[in-house]
Amino acid sequence: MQPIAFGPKVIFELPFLDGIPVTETVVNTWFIMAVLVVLSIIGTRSLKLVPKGKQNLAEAVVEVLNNLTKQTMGDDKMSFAPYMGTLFLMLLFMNLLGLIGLRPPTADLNTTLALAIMTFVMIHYFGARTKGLGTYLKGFTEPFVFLLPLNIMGELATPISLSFRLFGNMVGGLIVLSLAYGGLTSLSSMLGLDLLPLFQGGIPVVLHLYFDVFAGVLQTFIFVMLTMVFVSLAMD
Amino acid sequence: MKKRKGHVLQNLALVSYIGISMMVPILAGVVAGRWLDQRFGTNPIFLFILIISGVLIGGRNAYYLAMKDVDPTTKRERK
Repeated sequence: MQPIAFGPKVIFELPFLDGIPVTETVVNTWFIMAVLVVLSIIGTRSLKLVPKGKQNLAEAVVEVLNNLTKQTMGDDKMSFAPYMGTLFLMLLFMNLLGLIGLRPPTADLNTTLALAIMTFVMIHYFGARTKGLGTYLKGFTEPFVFLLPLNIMGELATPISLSFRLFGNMVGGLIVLSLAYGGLTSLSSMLGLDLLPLFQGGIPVVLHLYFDVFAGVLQTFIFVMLTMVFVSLAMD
Repeated sequence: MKKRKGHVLQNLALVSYIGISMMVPILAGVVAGRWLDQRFGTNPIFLFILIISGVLIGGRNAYYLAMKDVDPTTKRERK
């Protein structure tokens, strides 16, 4: 029996510096980017004052995301709405990519850690900018000076917790689904149903519903929500 | 501070984050402590120090998350 590998497959290699591997993760991210760009272009083409059809849908999506930002961060931080909206849509599409049989890019620690590091940089950049560098740095020595290393380590734990939780959820779902597909396929062929995918046709739907739709949407929401809460916390 | 809507969802996200924000520093302490002990042959001094500081950091993270919604004015009154 051959071992099952769950890591992202290398699609091709870029021919400099000993070959940079371009994995499934990156290619699927490009696909998501293309889909989002095309959808934005279609949704915002020939805008009218009274929205109709696809413009209506686009406006509804933007309004929901704007409201989410406004409720969580407050009216004064609405300038974050475009970033949070983009993050939300991108994570949503990434997590739901498993539904069409592609590997979700979020099932790769590189993707989630990159997004979490962006959140981390935002927390500290905007924290230092609104509070002033001195007050911001002094915040690390509160309530006692000797807690400084503890505070710094605690801050460094934020991107790790954020990225590991999304990555863990998505890669766990991916592994369970791959095992289920493998097992159900051999079950079908054991019963002599090679041409008729009886078991792997229907049963994984339930698993997809839980691991891709439920966990995917929930984790998207939590990631964006935590990013908003942490950034606005650092700024107040 | 004015009351914000969407509080339920926000708090759910935060509550579910408290667990992992306590766990990550402790596990990081275990990994880093074992590595440092192997490196310097000081088994198990670094492991203990880093696990204890991991627990403290986890407690600090949970405290900050829990204190997030306390109104700053009441916090000052209590001091």
